[in-house]
Amino acid sequence: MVSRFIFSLVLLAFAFLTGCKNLERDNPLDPENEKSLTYSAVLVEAFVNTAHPSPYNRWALESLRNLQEKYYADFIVCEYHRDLQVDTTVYDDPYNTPDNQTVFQLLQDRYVSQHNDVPRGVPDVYLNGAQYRFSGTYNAQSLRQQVEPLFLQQISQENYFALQPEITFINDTTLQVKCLVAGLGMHVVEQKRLRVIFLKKEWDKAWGLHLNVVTKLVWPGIPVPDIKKGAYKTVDAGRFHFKDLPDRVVVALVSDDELTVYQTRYTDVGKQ
Amino acid sequence: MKKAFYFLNLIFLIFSACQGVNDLFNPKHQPQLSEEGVVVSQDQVMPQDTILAKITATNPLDGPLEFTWYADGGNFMPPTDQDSVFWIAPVKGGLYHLWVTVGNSDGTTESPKRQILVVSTSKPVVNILHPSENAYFTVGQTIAVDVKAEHANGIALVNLYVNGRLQAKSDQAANQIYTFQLTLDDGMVGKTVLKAEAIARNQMASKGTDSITILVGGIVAGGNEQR
Repeated sequence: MVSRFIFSLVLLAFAFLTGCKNLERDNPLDPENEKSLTYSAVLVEAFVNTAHPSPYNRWALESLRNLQEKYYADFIVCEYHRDLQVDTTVYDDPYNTPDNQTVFQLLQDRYVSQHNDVPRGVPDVYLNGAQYRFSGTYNAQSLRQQVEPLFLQQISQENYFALQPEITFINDTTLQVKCLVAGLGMHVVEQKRLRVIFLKKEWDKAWGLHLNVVTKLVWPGIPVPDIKKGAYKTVDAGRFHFKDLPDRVVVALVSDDELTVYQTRYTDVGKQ
Repeated sequence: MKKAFYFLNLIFLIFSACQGVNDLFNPKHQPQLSEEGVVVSQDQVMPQDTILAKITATNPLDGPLEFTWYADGGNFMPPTDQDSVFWIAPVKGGLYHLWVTVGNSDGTTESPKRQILVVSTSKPVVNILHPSENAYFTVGQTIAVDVKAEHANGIALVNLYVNGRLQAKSDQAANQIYTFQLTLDDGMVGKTVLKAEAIARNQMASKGTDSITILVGGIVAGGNEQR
């Protein structure tokens, strides 16, 4: 009786292993699938000021809002709200904190350095890092008209980097952020960083606009260890403390110099 | 005696070999032209106008002089073998030249070329080469506006208008291109029309224009600037 049971067990194991051997790795998101790839989402970083009376920033935000409503998860808007002058309160943006200003400026200056024709100012909008810059607006549609063709071009490209953010509530004021990173289509992940951006959704009464305010930017990005073909790793970005928890966490895989964004994903904190 | 004979033969050979030996012994006496050269009734005319051109020549030899008139445009009214001739200006304006050769039995003498300006009635050809139509810029940027202006009579002045307002003038060109440096301001936000107007260097001051529209975005300078 026992020998028959053992024999059956061995036979079952054999059949199972044989079946596993023939299992095709055709999952498009499987890093070991040579043909695996994923879709691109575009990171839109907008340096804006909502205190200055000129309409340029409002026009920019209206354009971005329209595109976000149209393309939803593929069009990820992060607004870096800037003061205009560091040592006055003139036109200080109500959605910015002094702590953020230095960090925001480091990022904007790095982007501006790639486009010297226009100095630093607001609105100043970038697509997937410093690759595309859009400075200024002349009506509520102008930025949309400029951005949309390039955005469509970006999302039509095959993307070989997978990101999967994992947000854990530690307590009412603390979040733990981790992110699974993989190179698809047998691509390695080398010399990359993980940019982590925390967003708070605000409703601006004066302008009648929903805003995606960056409340914290991890700068510089967290170095991502090199990942071999067909492998993945989880990057632990650490624990982050807030007075008021953010509504959304955006993660982006960026180049070591922070100028190029390869892939972006987000998780809404309230939906955890 | 023999030495003298050989020496004379040598001298003769040397002179014979020289091209100008005949001149030396038989100098030519070609016609001589007055210092003022070709005299014209007008040196600036409208297309199809007729002018009288005249040359004063003297013949050091006996016999008649032969006159042959030339021009690099337009037409002569016959007769064209006299010391004066009527020349009809061409339709196309520009700089033209008249000259004459005067001959006698010893050869011909050519006059210096006399310049005639034929006023072009056409408008200057104007093209804004840079920036391109619908190019986008932001407030605060200084852009180069390159205007190519051509006219048969030359260009006296090029004016640059921004949204109908005269912004700058230039009479300095490099290879027919007039360059203006334009700093964009808040008043230009939106569609801004750049118009270049070229004025020809002629009696009529013919004008030619070209216009383009550029897009100017408003931007607030700064972002944590120190005061």
